[in-house]
Amino acid sequence: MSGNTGVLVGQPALDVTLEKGEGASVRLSEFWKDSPLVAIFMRHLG
Amino acid sequence: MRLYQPEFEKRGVRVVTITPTDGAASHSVCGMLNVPYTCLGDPSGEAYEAYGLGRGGWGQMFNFHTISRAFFAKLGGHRHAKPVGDRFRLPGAFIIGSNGRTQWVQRGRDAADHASALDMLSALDSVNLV
Repeated sequence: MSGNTGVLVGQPALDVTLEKGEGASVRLSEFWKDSPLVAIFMRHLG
Repeated sequence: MRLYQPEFEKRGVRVVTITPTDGAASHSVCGMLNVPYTCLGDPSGEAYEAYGLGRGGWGQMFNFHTISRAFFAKLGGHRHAKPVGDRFRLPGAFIIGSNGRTQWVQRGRDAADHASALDMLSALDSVNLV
């Protein structure tokens, strides 16, 4: 497992780039700029 | 998760699900499963790593907790498609305020250690949402 501990409560969230459908990319901050965000990282798809 | 969509909506939050696949696969499977949330892909795993969600070892994929969770999920009628993407990624969930600050964190210690919808709703009710 990675040694990176990632973000902690109170720290700025990391504005990562993710893929939407059809290969377009989007920044995660797009989803928290207007309202709080729940970001769920799934173990896998399916 | 799907059943609780109105509860998340009532609290005025957006929900995105991120999978270790490309965006097209994420979008397609979420469409098939009628997932009512925005589905995004992270094929390189960079976002997982940035948020401290590494790749688990065999012991985190197959242990008493993961096997018993899978068994009872199946017993309860849970079905899923053939898994796509990096199957060794560990799950996690984060609440981020509209000021860009992290308000709640859950990182899976093994493959089956993921926050339930009720865990997340309870967390939303306990933090001072901004």
